[in-house]
Amino acid sequence: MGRHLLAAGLIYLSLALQSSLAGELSLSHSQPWFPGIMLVFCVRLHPGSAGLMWGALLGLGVDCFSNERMGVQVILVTLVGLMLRSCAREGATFGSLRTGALIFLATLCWKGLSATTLGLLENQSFRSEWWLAGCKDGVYSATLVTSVLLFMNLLKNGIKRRDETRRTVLTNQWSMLSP
Amino acid sequence: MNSRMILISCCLFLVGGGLIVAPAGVTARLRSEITDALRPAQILIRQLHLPYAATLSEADATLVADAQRIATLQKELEFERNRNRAMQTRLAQAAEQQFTEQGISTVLTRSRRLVLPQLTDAAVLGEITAEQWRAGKLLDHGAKHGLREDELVLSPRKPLRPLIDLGAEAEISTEDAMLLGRCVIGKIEHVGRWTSTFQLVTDLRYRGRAQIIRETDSGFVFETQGILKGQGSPLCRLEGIPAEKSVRVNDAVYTAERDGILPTPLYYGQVVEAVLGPDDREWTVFVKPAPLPSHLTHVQILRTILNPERLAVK
Repeated sequence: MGRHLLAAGLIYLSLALQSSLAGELSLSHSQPWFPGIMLVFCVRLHPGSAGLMWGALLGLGVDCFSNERMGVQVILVTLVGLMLRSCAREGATFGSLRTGALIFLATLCWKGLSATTLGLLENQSFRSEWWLAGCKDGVYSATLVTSVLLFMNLLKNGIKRRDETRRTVLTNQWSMLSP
Repeated sequence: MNSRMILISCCLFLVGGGLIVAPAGVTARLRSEITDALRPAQILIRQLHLPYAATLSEADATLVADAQRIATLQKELEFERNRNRAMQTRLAQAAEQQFTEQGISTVLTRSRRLVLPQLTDAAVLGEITAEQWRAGKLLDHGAKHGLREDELVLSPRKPLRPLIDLGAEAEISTEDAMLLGRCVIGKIEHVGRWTSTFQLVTDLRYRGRAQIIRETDSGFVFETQGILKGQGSPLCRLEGIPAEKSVRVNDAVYTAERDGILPTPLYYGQVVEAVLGPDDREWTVFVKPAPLPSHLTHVQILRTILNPERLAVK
């Protein structure tokens, strides 16, 4: 239950961040794709079918604030979710770099497929820029998340080491108990 | 992929497809509901972000200002560097000129060679002075006193031929090179007793041996030799360059003395045009001589003298 609540919170946060803050974090025409990041975390939280459903909900949210044809993102995010699920099997461990790679892949596929599908639905001819933009956003998102995760790991390791040095080892120290 | 997963995926695809084909009213309502649900979080994020946004925009403005300042400073630096280069060039030219005017003669007179070059300063007579000189107004002694000027120098048939104030009395000879700095600008044509006429390199009858020298990364390369001819126009023509030799625009043209009196060749000018037709056996080369001042008043005459040290009686 807690996992589901966490997934719902993450989806809500990602949609709010994407619709309010992503534009201001724009860097040389690329911006972070928070739904892609959250999709990876959803798949991590729920490797089973629940992850797909949460992903579809995320797609529905993207459909709402993108002002494009509704339903397209639901289908696309299901496809990307299936792809991510095949990459992240249940019980598999995730490092910071692997998470970053998955975020890059998710963002690239989601944005590339989305731009291509919507473009083709509007009778436009295929353009490589659609995928290039997805690639740039993917790099930005992956770098952002990987940096944060690495920094958190660094902090965690530092605190752990400090605790270990403080701890007094009592093994084979029976002499300390003697009067 | 298990059957449950396939079933759920199919359901989701169906939901997506249903939304695509759903009536606009339904989708619009759904959209507005979800957008409204997101609004509180959006407002909260914006409120939290505002102070950072101000700091970020300030930092951004500072960065832009810094970038502009750096660009301005780089432009100024480039300008100053160019000015510095121009000053260095002028300094080098001045040093070279000084060396030419003072150095060649003083250094070479210390040589043990029998024949030495010597630079002699001469003044170019102005048109009025030259006319008065030719008319005999400046001579107060006649031919009886043996002071008559050479007829060729005084000839009224060549009224436009310029004069310098040195002649045979100063041991000037015909064909002596006339220099301005280290550049050859002409040569002596006729020598009178006190004055001489000269030809500029651009004069129609001027001829002089010349060689092409090219500056490369590994130093100066001496190319082929030819004859520099004046044409009565601002450009001279360099003849006698075989087709198999290499000539390029901007190559320098220097004197090609065969007697080796001077340690270094003297500058004539620069190649401005080099053409070789398909059937030509020689290059057609045009040379732009060294620029002259608007009023030529002082020149140096390069002449050869016998080494006084070798002639001195021991």
